[in-house]
Amino acid sequence: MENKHLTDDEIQDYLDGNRSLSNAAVHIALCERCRRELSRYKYLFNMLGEDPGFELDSSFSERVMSKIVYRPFLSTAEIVLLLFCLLSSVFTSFYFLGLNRVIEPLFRVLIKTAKIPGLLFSAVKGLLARADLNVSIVIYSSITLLIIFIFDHFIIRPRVQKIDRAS
Amino acid sequence: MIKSDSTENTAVVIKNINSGRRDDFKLIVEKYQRLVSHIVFRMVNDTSDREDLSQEIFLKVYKNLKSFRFESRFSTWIAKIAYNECINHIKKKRMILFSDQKEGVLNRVVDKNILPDEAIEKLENREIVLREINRLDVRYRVILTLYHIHGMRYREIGDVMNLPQGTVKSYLFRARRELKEALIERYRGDRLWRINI
Repeated sequence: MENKHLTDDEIQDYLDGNRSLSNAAVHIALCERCRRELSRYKYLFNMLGEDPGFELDSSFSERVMSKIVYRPFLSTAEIVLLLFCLLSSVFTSFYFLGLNRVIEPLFRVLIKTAKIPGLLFSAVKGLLARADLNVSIVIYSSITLLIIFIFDHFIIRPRVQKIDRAS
Repeated sequence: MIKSDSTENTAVVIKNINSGRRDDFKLIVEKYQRLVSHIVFRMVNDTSDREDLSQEIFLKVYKNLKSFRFESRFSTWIAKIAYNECINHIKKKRMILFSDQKEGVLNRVVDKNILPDEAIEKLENREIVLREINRLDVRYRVILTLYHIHGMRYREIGDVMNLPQGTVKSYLFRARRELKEALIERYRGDRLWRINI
């Protein structure tokens, strides 16, 4: 290597810290041409290592944050609906498991005190209050299952699929 | 060289954001906006698009934060998103990809009036080098930035740009050689070289 000029790649490799080019230092000390090339690359490396000064202004992070809309996975109304479904499921399960002695008084209180808005739900509430407890349970279970189906099919599944697509 | 990762702190911040502390994302933006701006400014010449694109990149980072598995450095992951978004932007705008670009407008942030002569000369030299970098292939520009300014290794740059390590090294060497030759060609005998040799 002492008699042969270093190639561009060898000089760059040397400046990148490749220590396998141990003879390069000897050659550079003796060769003016390679010393000149090395100086040029050294200068270039220094320039390339300096921050080019491209800057986004100081309020950039604020603007990004203003675009991040906080959207919880479930809204408050959805959480209430979910709790209602869960509670209903528990009561219904208890009934069919023969634990109705424990929950029957609670269920009666629930039917009497439930303040469900809307004409449709008022009608259902009236029906439940008038009907025999067994019939009430069946109607109540059906409505609960329907709500759970709607909740799962139209709210949870599309949201999970959307997250899967995004990731 | 910019230190863009202190892994433990970043990991804590990411976990906090994923557990609902949305406002902590501002720390991520502040820490990595320099990395993102370097990639965007190197790849996109249209000044009016740069900020919007940088915002889109961070919004994408936020949306995908839960999918970051800590298998690479966070800076590499963000750089990869930034690079891919820039490529998509360039394609969408039907701009020329991976070939010589015309000189872009450099966004300089230094007031030359308050600097001594030597510093002005250095700044002018830097502007010449930056201008020549902007004439290089888009991939070369990104590699030079990630390697020299952000201290990324060949493997990390390969991850960002979806290139094999050997190709990254080859492009890096070619970029520096082309840059040196362009500077010699255009500024032969200029003080740019004289003061350093």
